[in-house]
Amino acid sequence: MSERESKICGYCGGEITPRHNLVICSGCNKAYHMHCWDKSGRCQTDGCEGKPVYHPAPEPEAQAPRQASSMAKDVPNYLAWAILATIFCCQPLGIVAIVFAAQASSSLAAGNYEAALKTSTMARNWCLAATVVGVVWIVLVSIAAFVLAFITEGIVMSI
Amino acid sequence: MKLFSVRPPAAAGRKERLLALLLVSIAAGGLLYFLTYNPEAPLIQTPPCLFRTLTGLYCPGCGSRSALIQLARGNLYAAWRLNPLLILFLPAAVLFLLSQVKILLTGRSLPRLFLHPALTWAIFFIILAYWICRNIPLYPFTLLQPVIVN
Repeated sequence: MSERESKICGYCGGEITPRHNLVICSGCNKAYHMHCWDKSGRCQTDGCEGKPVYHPAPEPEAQAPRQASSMAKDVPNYLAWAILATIFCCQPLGIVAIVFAAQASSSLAAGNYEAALKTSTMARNWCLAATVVGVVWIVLVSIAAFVLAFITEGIVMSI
Repeated sequence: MKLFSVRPPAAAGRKERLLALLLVSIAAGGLLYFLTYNPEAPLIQTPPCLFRTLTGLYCPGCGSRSALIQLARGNLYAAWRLNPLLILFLPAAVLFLLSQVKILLTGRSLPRLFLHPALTWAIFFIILAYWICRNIPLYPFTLLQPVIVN
């Protein structure tokens, strides 16, 4: 929109930002703040009898959901991690994480950003729990196996 | 209904880079093992499944660690018999790994794959059904149980 490029108000001399309601004179194409036009009631150019052409600023309500949905696109659902934790860490905890991941993606598709964020966090926590339990278990078993091998080897050697 | 959508790559933070480094190192270790292993050497023992140790039942991941070692030996069939679902997820795992490599190289992931919610639920129910079926002691469900073959 060319009329949205930054302009200087012909009445007050201030900048017209995208948040301002813009008025452009139909006669000389001079730009004004809408409130400045309404105050003066006419174009400031000498002899110009132009009519006001209104370009209202985009409504904040219209802008907010677009922003929210673009943020919502970045809500991670941790599905890959959840599946990896379930398959590789041997963890039923990972199944819970998959449920939350699926819920997060459902909420996201329904446009419910708050719920998606909440379930996304839950998915991450369960993924983390599954991974930590899995890794701790593997480390413990490995240590136990080493100790066992050491003891039995010791016994064999003593016989 | 679109089953999935592709979204632009995301910039990776510090944590993602560390995770990528870890995962790529593990994969590189697997590749090294594949290139250097001796077919005569005994299989590496893997830690037993926690769930199976506690309950005596198979979990969806039982056999996956042995399957990974078989994969590293290039033995796809042996890996399949240990955990068929793992093999089905393998293309996704390869994609995930490639993304990790790209994060390490460029700091940005590959274009991200977003599944339709219905598909994420489908994956959940597939894993759940797999979990139940593995524990049914009747043919053909017993085919899903981990078996060591060569």
